[in-house]
Amino acid sequence: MEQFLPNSSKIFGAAAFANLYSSVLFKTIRALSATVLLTLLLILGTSGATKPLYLAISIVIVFSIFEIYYHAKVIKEKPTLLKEVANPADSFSFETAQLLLKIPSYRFFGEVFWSLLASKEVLFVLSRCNISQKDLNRLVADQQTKALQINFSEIASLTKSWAEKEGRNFIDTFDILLALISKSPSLQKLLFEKEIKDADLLNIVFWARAVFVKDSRPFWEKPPETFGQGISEFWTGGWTLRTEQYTFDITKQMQKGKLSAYLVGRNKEIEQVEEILARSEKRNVILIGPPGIGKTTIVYGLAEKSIQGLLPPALKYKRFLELDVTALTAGAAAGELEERIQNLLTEITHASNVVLFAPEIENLAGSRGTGVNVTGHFLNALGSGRLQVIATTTREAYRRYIETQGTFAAAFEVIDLAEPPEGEAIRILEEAAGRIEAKSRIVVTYKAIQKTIELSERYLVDRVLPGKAIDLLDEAAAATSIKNKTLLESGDIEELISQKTKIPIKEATGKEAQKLLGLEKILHQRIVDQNEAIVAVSNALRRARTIERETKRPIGSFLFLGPTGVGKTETAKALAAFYFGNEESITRVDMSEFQDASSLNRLIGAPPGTGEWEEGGDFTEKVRQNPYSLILLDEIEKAHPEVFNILLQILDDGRLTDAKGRFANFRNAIIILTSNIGGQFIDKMQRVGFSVSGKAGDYDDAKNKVMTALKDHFRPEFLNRLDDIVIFDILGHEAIQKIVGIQIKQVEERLKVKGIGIQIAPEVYGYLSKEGYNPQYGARPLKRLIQSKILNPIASLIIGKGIGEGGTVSLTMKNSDIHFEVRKGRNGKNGHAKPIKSDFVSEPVEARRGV
Amino acid sequence: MEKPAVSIYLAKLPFVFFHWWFLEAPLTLLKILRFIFAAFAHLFSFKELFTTFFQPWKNEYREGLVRTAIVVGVVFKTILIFFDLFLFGVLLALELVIFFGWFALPAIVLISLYGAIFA
Repeated sequence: MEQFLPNSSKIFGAAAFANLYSSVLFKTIRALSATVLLTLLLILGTSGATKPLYLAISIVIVFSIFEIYYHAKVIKEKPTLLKEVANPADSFSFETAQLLLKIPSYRFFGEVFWSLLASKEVLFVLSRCNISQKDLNRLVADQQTKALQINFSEIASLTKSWAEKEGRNFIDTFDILLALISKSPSLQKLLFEKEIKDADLLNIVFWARAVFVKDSRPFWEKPPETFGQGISEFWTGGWTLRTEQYTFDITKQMQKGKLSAYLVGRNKEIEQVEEILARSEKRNVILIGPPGIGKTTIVYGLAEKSIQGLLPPALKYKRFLELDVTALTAGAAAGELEERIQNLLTEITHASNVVLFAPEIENLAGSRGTGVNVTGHFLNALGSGRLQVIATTTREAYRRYIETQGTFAAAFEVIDLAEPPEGEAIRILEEAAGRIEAKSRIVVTYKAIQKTIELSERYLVDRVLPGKAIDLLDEAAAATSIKNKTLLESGDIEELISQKTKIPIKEATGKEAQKLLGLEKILHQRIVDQNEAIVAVSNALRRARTIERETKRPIGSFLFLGPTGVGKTETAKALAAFYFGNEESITRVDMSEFQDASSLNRLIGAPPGTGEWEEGGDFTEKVRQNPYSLILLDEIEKAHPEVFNILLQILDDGRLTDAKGRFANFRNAIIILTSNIGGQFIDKMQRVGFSVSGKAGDYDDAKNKVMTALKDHFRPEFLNRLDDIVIFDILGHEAIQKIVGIQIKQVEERLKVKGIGIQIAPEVYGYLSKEGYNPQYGARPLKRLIQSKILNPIASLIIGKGIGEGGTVSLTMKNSDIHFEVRKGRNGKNGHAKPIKSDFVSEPVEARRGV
Repeated sequence: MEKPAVSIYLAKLPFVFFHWWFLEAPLTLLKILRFIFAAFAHLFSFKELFTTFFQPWKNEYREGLVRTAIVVGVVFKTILIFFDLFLFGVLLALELVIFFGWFALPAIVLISLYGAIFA
């Protein structure tokens, strides 16, 4: 291990002198001396006293020489390159050496660490790690941490290895911080509590370096071109008076400081654009990518580089003008638009210093937005190399409006922009965080940035990175500042996404964790029996809320089998209510409507060229509008076989492309398919007395038969992609009684709102469970029975007898029918009523119609 | 582990100072002065004044205006060339003063001290 010897180090010597010379005492002495000397010089200069004047002049010059030496030499001392030194102290940066010299002793961790807190770079790193002042105070109070002994030579050796790992030739404050963390269990524990891993810490340090370590080259080592354009630009660039009416001058706005480019990464694409624009012919490029991917940012970034003189000669000091199609087309009479375009092209061609930026070029190529197609006017200019054009569009618009016009499309070189990888997206967001922090006056933690990327990628599926992540971070920052918080944490991002999607995202803790653990019980409050189904969906939800999903498949996909009225839809509703917060979050599709091949058009949209193309697919549109929902596909067995190919794609990739080429995302959906296949076996079992309370062997036999029927009807690859196939049991009489209890409770709740009580005799329950059950329709007739036999008479009683708040209705059985007795209400009177004539029959309407 | 003493640094200071003032600093000063000269040439477009001397002012292309624009350009550029030459002359003189003044500064101290004692 190399010895850390600051006393024999040149840079530490200079730093020690600088610390002394810049101390408050010396600063005061220097300021006073300067004032006295200048005053003396003035007095002596006017008094005519020669000798004192000479003396004053010599002192002033010596003083000035020393100040020049201090500012140009002492504080600009450069560290020796790491590979060339024997003493690591020589390779510390001057600022770091200054900081280290303020430490009273190098023996204790506490003293070194507290001294580092004077550095704003270190505070930046700690705050981004979500380490607050409170956490630091806790660390200060810890005696063990304070008294932890360290060997600074070992720390110096570690700092050297950090620097070498990053390919740097000197050691800075960040290296010391990293080395100290690696030697302090308390700091490591604190970082663990904040969920900051080693890789995260290195990323945060990288971020801090990007913020604090700027180009340290002195101005005379930079090319003179970086100081702006010469006066010749004034006379070499032609007039663009008419062009300015239809364009927005990006360069001018940037020079005024009203516009900035925040371009991070994208080096490959920028290089490609530069190469194309610097050609002698066909100097036009079209950037293709979805909104939010950074097409405009690339153009603005180029404009900024051009102003700074950092581009090749063909692009240096160019004026970047953004075409305003609205201004160009507004109020243009017949022939006038063509004239405007002609003038614009002539001016730009002769100006010779303009790069034309045409955003959403499809607007000039006949898209529905404008209906204008003026591409023909551009052809000559584009092909001749007299123009430099950067256009942008989306892949879909390119395919529809540009590609179809061969010559126009051929005039452009295509650059496809892909979403940046996660690492680059984090860098972009770190850059954006600086602006967002300044605007909202908050501090954005690294975890918040990481979470923004992660959640926007998973939940904001119809947009792309980095745009969607930047917007999300901005929105979260605004919400945080409104709450008078100063720190934007990952939890704030989760909260915002939860608000937007209605999906619980935060890790389940406390009451919610208990609810998840006892999910079966909660679902059983609404669903009677059907244990297999309840356990299957409960497991899927627990998985979704705890374990990160590695695939892009939906949250869960189930096939519910069973006859009508056994609780399939009710289970779906209960599931939607629990997971999506609202039982209305169900996208329900009756698959019996998709029996023929042509009905596929309604599912994913009609093919191009047909009249319905613009309408898109019913199904895909519904999912696109509400991607965070439970998708219930009823009677799946009735759908056309082609529909199953579509379902395969959904279950495998979690997304579906409609006829227009847009994606409907199913990754955040729960998919439930229902089918009555094998119903005859379940019915048969029922006839021989099978029910929930039946023998296990009977149940297995029924299930096997149902599964065989299922395999006969559906392809194995389809069945294999489902998370679970759940058979809903036929409801037994006990189950019906429980359902009666649940439904009566709902009636009680409804009357309670009116302040009316209801008392129901046990024989009424018996009557309802007997009459409300139908082997073919399960518990479905029960609702109608309760409506007809209880709710309708009570409604009549409320009107006829004037039952008011505080009143009670008692239900008993008399002459095989329900008898109502009314007790005193606030405004009404006591009495009893005969049952009113009911239209109830134990079959639902559909059955009577023979459906 | 000992911290460096400022006194040791101060003891070495005169040698380091003279080395810096008469060797290192003049080299940097030369770089700075050369940069300032190059930046002036760039900002006042000295090279472009000659390369675009006969090109029409503002790249005029309209029939009938091109010749006028060439004349206007030649006139303005001629004025600018003289103006640039004058500026460069002044700049060069200033730079020479600064460069030699740098070496002269310690001598001025000695001269002033001599004057203070013997004048």
